Amino acid sequence: MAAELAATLGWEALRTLLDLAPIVVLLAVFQFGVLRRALPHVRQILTGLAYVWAGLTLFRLGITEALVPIGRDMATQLVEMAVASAHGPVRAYLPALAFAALVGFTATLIEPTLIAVASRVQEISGGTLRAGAVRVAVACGVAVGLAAGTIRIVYAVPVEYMVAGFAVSLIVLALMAPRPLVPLALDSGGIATSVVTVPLITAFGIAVSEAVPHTTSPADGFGLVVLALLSPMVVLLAIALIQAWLAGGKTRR
Amino acid sequence: MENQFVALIGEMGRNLRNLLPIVALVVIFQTLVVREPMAELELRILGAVLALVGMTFFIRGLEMSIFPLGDTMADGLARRGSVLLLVAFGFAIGFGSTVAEPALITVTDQAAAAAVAGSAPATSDEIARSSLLLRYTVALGVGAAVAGGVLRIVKGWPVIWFVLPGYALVTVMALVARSPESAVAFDAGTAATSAINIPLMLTLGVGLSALIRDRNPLVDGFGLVALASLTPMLVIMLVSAVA
Repeated sequence: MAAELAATLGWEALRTLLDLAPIVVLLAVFQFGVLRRALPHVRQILTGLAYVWAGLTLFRLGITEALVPIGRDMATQLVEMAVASAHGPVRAYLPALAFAALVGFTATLIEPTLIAVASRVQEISGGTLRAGAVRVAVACGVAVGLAAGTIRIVYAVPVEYMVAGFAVSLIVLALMAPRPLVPLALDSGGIATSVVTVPLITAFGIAVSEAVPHTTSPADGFGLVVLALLSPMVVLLAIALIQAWLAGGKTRR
Repeated sequence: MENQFVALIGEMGRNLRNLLPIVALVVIFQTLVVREPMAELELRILGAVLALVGMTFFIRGLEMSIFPLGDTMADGLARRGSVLLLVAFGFAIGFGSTVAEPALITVTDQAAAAAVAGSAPATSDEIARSSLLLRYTVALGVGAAVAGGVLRIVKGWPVIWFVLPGYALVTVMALVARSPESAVAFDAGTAATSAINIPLMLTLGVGLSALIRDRNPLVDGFGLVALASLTPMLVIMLVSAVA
C-alpha cells in the first residue's frame, strides 16, 4: 500500500508541476523579459507557489485515494441494487439519482478553486454577492448536471439531446438574465469543473455505465463532465433571473 | 512565521467545515443504503486528511502567489498601454496551459484514433501524428480564445456575443454528426481550464477591467474562463466535421 501511495504521490506531483510550470515560466518571461520590472514580495510569492504545488498535489492524492474510489464503489452498488430491485425503472434508480445529485453538490463545496474564486467575487462585488451563496448556487448546478448525466446513462438518452437542452436554456436565460451577472454565470461552469469534480464525475460515469446492463460502449460513460460544465451556468442564470424578478415585483408594489 | 502557522491552522478548521457535508453524505449512504463496511477504510480516511491539508495550503498559496501575480501583471501590462502585448499575454496563457494538459492528451488520442480508423487502415504512427496535430490545434484555439477575451475586455464587447453562438454551433454540429465521438469532444471542455490558470485568468480579467475607465470588474472582468472552456469542444468538433 505504501509503495502504491508513493507512486500516486509522484504522479500527482508531476501532473501539478505540468499545470504550474507553463504559467510560472510565462509570468517570469513577461515580468522580467517584457515589462522589465522587479517583482515585489518575491519571497512571499515563491513560498506561495510552493504551497500551491504541495497543496494541490496532496489534495489530488487525497481525492484519488478517498473520494474517487468511494464515489465509484457507491455508484456501482447503487446501480446494482437498482438492477436487482423489483420496483419499476423510475423508483428503482431513485437512490442512485439522489446520490448523484448529493455527491455533486457536496463535492463542489470542497472544490478549492471555487472556494478561492468565490471569496474574490465577494471582494469584487463589494459584498453584495456572498462567497457562501455563490458556492451553494454553483454546487446546485453541479448537482443538477450530475443527476441529468446519470439519467442520460441509465435511460440511454443521447448526450447530444441533453447538451442541446442545456445549451438552449443557457442561451435563452443568458439573454433574459440581468446583464451584470451573466459573465460570472458563464465562468461558473469552468470553475466548477476542476480538481474535485472532474475525476469524481469521470469515475462515477464509468461505474454507472458499467453497472447498467444495456450500455454497449465505454463512450456511454462520457458526456457527464459537459453536463456538469453547462448546468452551473444555467442554474446561476436562473437564480439571477428569479432574484431580479422577485426584486422587481417588490419595487413595483 | 509563528503567525502564519496559526493562520493556517485556523483556515484548516474552516476548511474542515467545507468537508463535513460530503463526509456526512458518504456515512449516511454507507450505513443506511449500502449497509456494508467500507472497503479500505484507513486509506479513505487518510485520503480525506490529505485533501484537507492540501486544500488549505493550495488556497493559501493562491492568495500569496497567483492572485498578486495576476494583479501585478494586469497592472504592468495595462500601464504599458500596448493592446498587442495584452493580447499576446492572453494567447500565451491559453496556449501554454492547454498544450501539455494530460486530460487533453487522452481526449485527442481517442479522437484521433476514431477519425483515422474511419478513413483508411491506420498505423499507430499516423494516429500519434494526428493526435499531436489536434492537440496543437486545440491549444492554438484556446490561445486565440483567451486573447480574444482580453481584447473583448479592452474594447468592452459583451461576452455573450462570443459564448452563446459558440454553444449554439457546438450543439448544432453534435446534433448533425450524431456520432459517439461527440461525447468525447464534449468532455474535452475542461481540458483548457486548470486549478491554476482559472484564478490567473480571473485576476487578469478583473485587474484589467478595474484599470480601464468605464469598465466594471464584475461585468467585464469575467468571461475568460467561459471562452477557454468552450473552445476545446468547438475546435475538436470543427476538425472532425471537416476531416
